[in-house]
Amino acid sequence: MPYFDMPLCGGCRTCEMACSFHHRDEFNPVLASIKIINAEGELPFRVWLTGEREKLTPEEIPCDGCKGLAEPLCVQFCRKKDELKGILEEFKGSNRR
Amino acid sequence: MGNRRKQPYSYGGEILRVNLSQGRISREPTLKYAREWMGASGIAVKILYDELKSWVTPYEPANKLVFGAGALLGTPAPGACKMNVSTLGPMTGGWATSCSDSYFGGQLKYAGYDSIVCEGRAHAPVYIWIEDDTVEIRDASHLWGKTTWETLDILRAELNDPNLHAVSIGPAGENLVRGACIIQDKGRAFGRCGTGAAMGSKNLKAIVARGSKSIPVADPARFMEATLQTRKMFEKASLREKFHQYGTLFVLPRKQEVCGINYKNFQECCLPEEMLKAIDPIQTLDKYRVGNQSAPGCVIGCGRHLHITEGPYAGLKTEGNQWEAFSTLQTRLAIWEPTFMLKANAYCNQMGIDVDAAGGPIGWAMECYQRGILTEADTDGLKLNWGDAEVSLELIRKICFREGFGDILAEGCARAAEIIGRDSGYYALHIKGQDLYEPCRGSNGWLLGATTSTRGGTHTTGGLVIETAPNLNAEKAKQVYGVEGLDKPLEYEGKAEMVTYMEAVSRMANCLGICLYSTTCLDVDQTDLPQMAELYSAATGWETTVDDLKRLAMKQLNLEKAFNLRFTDFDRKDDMPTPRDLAEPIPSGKLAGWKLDEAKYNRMLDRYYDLHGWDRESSYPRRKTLVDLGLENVADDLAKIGKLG
Repeated sequence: MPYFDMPLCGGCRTCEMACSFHHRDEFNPVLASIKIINAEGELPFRVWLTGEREKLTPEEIPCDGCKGLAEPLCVQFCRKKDELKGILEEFKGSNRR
Repeated sequence: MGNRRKQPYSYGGEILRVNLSQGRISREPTLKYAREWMGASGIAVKILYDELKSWVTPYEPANKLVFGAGALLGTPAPGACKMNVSTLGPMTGGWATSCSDSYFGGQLKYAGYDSIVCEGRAHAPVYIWIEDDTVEIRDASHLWGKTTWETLDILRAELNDPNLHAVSIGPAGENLVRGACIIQDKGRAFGRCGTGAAMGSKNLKAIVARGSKSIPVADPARFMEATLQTRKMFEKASLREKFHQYGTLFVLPRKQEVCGINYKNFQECCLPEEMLKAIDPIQTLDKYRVGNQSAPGCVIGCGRHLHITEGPYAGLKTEGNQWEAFSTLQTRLAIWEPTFMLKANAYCNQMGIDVDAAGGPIGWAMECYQRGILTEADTDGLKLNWGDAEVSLELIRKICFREGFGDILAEGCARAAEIIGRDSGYYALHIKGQDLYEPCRGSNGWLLGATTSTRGGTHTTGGLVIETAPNLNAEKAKQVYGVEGLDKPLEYEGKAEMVTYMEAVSRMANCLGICLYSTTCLDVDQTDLPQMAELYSAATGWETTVDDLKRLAMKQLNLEKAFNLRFTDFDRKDDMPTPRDLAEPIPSGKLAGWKLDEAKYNRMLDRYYDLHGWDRESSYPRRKTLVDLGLENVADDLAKIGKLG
């Protein structure tokens, strides 16, 4: 499952806005490959990443790791860069499989 | 989904009007207002000034409640997380506006709206459901009587969306408590001015928004560059890390140093040393933190999730409070249990009452009890002793249900003192009827901002928060504020100029939806007017300079002032400090013996009026001032009621 725990995430969701900008040059969390979810239990937030798969709806855009950029845009806008970088690495690995 | 609007860039595009009396929903283009009034509180003051007749009172259907999302909300512009709600306010009887960190506001904009004008009064409790083009007024009878936390949980469950965002009122708003607030989700409040009571008077329990449209900006490359450059500024901001870790609670040691703490209802301005150690909020946060909480687009991230695992409030899971709740409830009421601030803040949020509208009248009542002005015969048998946490929480409950003695306290300290009489007014510290929460003695820029604020008794519309902030870069401060002395809170010179500058910063921050605490309000290395001008220009395609922003801010301020002149008898007397602040020196601490100089205060106020083009004697704006700002019709209105300076 492309859900990831992100214990330090504060849920500012700037990553979602940055992601939709990467894909469409405009701001819209619905179009973001990354989504911050209100988690149940002690951890306030989890991260969802949309991967390549069949039958994507029009608003589901798979994460392409921001090809061509030195650092993915979501990471550039994250206050907890290292944690998010780790999640993207893990996601890249799982997505390949 | 995803349909792209061409104009105006960065805005939702429409203003929604919901007439609750008639069940009628209509829309108008935001462009009608955006160029001259920008957004949020700016658009609200224009609508309210133009549309409320002089006979309207706060609780009647003819009053209007205007929610407004900032012009940059929904974009990653640094700190663009705020929305405002404005109305004719029940606390002061005049201009009322309050802002809150808001996911709800972002959703509103993604749904295609910048503001919601709530008109009339529903015949029975309702909530408003907004999802893109679908806007419905729905039955809320099952939500009436519920706390704001229960309301959100019920709405999320029945609408099957755990990420749903809502604004709602609690029992305090339903019961028309004058200081009732509106809560965004569970932990963020449109706190001051009693906007929750205005919402309650409309039988409006909540508004839910969910949007899926895009917000385009006019020049995407320029906007992203401006955004990244502004974010970079924060790397130099010396307070950022502490602010991130502890929110505004990190200021406690500094507040102790500058005598900026409300202890026992302003009888003292700093804490006894042993209490300072015992209730240290930093330790409390470190002990119970389970996660972070950050508002959308925020570069600081000042919130946190806490789970109290021991003590009288064990089991409470809540978002942590900021400095204000600590100062107005924990220290003002002299309570030693360190987790009380979390409990009291959470309880106020659940019940939907502004923490200051709880701490203000309770602090006044406890001091009156201490002095024998109030006895158990007045208080339903309660002993109002300093430091009694249980009695404090019980009083909050009684206020929110307007039960017994709580019915008097629900009016706020100013009115409560009028009702009780017995010379109790001296202990009711308020400006224009709005309860004060932090000492005004010892910080003259803070004081001038609080006394002249159009919404009454507040530090966020022009007050110099930065004056006593730790690590102030005095050299940079001089460049930003244009005058020397920002680091000298006891001086009177230059304060009028600085407050005037902050009035512009705070208004433009509100219009854009930028959090005031991510601006030069707190730290000169944070967002300032030049960054706001660049972000707004790039986002909208409307080239806007710093001078333009200053002019628009002054135009708004003058309309707020005129709004007050229409609905109240405010004049120079209402821009004066409280009698206690004028009469008593700071009793203890590093500034012990320092006393406000009334003559110097008056000269500072004269200078403030001169800078604004307002008459020194009455405080009223002069015709030329209004005409120069394009408010000729307002000058005519004021002339008719004899209130032109």
